[in-house]
Amino acid sequence: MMDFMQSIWMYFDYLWKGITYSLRLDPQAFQFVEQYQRSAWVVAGIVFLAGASTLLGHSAVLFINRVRKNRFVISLLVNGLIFIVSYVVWGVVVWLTGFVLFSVNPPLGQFIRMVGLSTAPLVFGFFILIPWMGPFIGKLLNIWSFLILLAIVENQFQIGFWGALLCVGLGWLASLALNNTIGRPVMALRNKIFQIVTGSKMETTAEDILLHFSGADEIAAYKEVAK
Amino acid sequence: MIVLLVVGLFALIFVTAALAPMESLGWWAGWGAEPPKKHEISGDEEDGKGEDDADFYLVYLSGIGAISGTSVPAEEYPFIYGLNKRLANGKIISDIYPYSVANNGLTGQRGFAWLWRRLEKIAQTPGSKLAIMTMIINMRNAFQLFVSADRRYGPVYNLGIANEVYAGLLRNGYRPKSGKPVILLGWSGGGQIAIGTVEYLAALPGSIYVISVGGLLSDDPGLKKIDQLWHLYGVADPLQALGGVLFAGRWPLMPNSPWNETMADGKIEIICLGQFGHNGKGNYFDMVTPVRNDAKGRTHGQKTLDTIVRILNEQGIISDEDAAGAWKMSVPKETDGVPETIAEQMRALEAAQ
Repeated sequence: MMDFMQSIWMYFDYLWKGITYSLRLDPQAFQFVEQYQRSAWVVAGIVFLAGASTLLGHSAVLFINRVRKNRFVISLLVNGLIFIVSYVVWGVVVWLTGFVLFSVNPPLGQFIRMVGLSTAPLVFGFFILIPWMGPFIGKLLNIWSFLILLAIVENQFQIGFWGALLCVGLGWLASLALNNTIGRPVMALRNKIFQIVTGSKMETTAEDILLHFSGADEIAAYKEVAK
Repeated sequence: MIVLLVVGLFALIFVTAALAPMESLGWWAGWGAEPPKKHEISGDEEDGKGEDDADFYLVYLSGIGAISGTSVPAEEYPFIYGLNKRLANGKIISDIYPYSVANNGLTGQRGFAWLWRRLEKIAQTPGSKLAIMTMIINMRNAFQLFVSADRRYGPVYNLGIANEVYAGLLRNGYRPKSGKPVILLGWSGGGQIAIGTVEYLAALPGSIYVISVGGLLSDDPGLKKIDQLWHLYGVADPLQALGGVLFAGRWPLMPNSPWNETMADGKIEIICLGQFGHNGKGNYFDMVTPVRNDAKGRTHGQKTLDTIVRILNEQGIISDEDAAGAWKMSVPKETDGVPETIAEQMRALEAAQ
């Protein structure tokens, strides 16, 4: 029992260190991921937290669609898991881009774990909830995450800053192309899972509330009939 | 150690800010009480309770120092008293708490009600050395102001407050079919919340006006449905000026924003009262300090009241005779309209000084 508790404690200690070292771009974080196979669990924890926290930051959409409390919590957890899958795919895409463009091939598993570290700033994604300045904080967190990713690609591929920028940029374009082609069924599946989890089609927006309750939709309908 | 404390304090403020929209979002999602239903603000109600004998209805929405619908900073009571005296033909409604979607004051059914009750006691003790602690109330309510102004949360938050304003109107005898004008008088943060609620209250058959007294106003979509907005401000009040800086839609660079379009339509009138500050001596409600270079020798609070009367007179809401009578009225005393327990303490403090 004590061993189990100690393992849990150690895991959260590593998780905290992983997040703080990544935020500071501390090489110790990279070394840890490179040297320890089990670092995958720590990185997965960071990415999971980032996914759940980011959805919490954007949770107005869940509230507006009147998602119930238990489904709300499950949605956050599911988004954490979806984030893990997304970052594995993203890691593979960037790795492939580097391999094709610069003929570099660091161990794929290690590289994917590294890419996961770049999500560390998004652990604070729940601050996007803050009224007025939340969306700005969200942008800052994304820029921070992007800079960590650049540093990781530069470090792993040894291709300099511009090479890393090219790699990440083309990787992003490749992801877009994938999402809009063979990725479509996958995206549809993801959306379906999300609808099942939330119990809502997630179609209502804040503007709909304005239109619905202010009577504007009825006025618009009336005008349509009057035409 | 000090660095840790400062970091901890900032973290606490950020987390509190992040939690600010939860009350209104939870209310909408039905996590607490019943969620709102369609047509609650429809104007369908045929009869309100009581007699509809008022010429107009003025709803006062307090500033960010308010604790509940009936507990506001001491300086506001004489102002509300002055409004009641001067606008005898209208109905003044001042029991709406604009910082809670369910009109639930901070000392009501809440987890931290004990904390707010203690802060209320401090706020109601004139000259208290712990007065700085009441900044927590201001901070909490300021976050709600930004919730109202945020396009992600505003539609939900402002719907809740509009609901409460409408319920308050009905409680006070308002009958929607009468088409009588409704005036929202928002002080400080109440100004923003007033323009936010117009989006829904505009469905009522009568005209809807907003008077902002030192209001921190955003470019809220509600502005487009307003019949007229008057923004009263003082040159020594930097807080009201923040609205023009913080909200990009108020910048001249954005001609198609609700603020700039309403301004171009001539529906926003900006009125400078003079050397008025947001708080302290010389604020909008100061019934003692005379206004600098005022030909009539009025106090700050008196000039604010007179200006509101002038606006309503020019709009045709109150007659020339009633306005002339209001302008002749004496300035309210600092203890007028103040709850007796606070008034006693004010008198004791004055005697001690």
